[in-house]
Amino acid sequence: MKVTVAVNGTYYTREVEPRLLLSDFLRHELGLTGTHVGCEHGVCGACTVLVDGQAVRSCLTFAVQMDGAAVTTVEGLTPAEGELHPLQEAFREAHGLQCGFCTAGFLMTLVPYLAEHPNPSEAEIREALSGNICRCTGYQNIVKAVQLAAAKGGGR
Amino acid sequence: MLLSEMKVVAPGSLTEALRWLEEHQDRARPLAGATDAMVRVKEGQWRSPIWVEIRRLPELQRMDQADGWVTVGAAVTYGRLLRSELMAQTAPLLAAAARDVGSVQIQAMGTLGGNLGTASPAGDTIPPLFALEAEVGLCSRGGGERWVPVESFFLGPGRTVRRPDELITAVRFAPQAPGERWKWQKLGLRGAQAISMVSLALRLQPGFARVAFGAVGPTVLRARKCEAWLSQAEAFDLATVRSIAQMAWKEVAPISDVRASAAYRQQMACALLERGLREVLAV
Repeated sequence: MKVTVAVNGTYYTREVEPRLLLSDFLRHELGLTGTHVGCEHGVCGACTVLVDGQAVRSCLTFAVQMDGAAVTTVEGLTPAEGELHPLQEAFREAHGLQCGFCTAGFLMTLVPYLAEHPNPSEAEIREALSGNICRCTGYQNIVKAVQLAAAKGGGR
Repeated sequence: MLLSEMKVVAPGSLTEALRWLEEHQDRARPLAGATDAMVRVKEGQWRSPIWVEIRRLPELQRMDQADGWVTVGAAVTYGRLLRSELMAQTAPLLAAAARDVGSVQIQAMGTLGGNLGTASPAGDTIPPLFALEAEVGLCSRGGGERWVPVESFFLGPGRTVRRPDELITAVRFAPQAPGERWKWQKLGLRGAQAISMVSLALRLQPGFARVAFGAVGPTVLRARKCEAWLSQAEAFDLATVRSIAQMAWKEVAPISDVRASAAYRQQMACALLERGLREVLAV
């Protein structure tokens, strides 16, 4: 089946099997391996990408459902070579990651969230990231990173 | 069947979608947000040869109020429900339940029609629809449109009155009264993205009560004895509230499963009702 998707601003047309997951499409067809695959059944949030600006689990979506959609992956966050998105910068500064496996998913969940809620409370941040699992940090520094990004107006 | 033989079709209109369903009957299955379907497919179930993608059909996106009905299209996502000004005014009970479904990522894709079609007894938008006495709109090419009361729509876990050639197109209900007291509650194993062990949609006005429980029976159910006592009570003191809440014990019919035992669910049904009543009545 033919599918055309705009990923990080570039149009890609591919002939794919209908069963192909969006996560596998991004990783294997397009080589965008920044999107990670964890539980593969819609619980861990590692595979989160933006579809038309909204955070979505790419492991629970068929690639062919994305025909005509705009997808943003973690690779699309950085404005230019060598620069980090303000939220990524805050994650680095506040030590919001250890192994980093879950980080792309957290970033992609939080970017649209901060755009919609520029000044979230701690409880609101914890609720916003409840669909993402991190097994290293205990979440403390992730919450701090989001607060730091919000304080610096990093929602963008 | 093998997953490699699966086909996804993306009709551009409702008419075209209905044609796929009519022509292929049981071999075709509607696919909306895929948040339930994909999990079942990966578990080796729901191996439908043809998936009819309906998520973006324009005919299923409506959210409007006219002639006493609030109508919500089947492909409206939980995310749209919980952000909607119309829902905040006319069905805050439903909006509150939409906020409790899964995670933000699920809310962006999962749809109201999908929650009905999956027909889980633990589907979070269903108790509010029972409490609102909503009607489910079904469309087919041969039979046109019919509206089924939500209580008659479900036959059991995963089973509904939808025929294979029909598509759930919308849900409609009368708006909640402006001064009405209402409460949505959900008890899960943890605060976020948990499947309900017991859920409760409660509506109260003078002389009027609706009590609908989720996850404590083969389908969502209404506690009609509790409703009768609540609508007849002249004053609510703590003793009255407690005795009415205790009646829920006999009105629910839960099973034991991986999430909770039947006895625990019965107790929690009473506890949620008591807690909800005490909160909305301030006793």
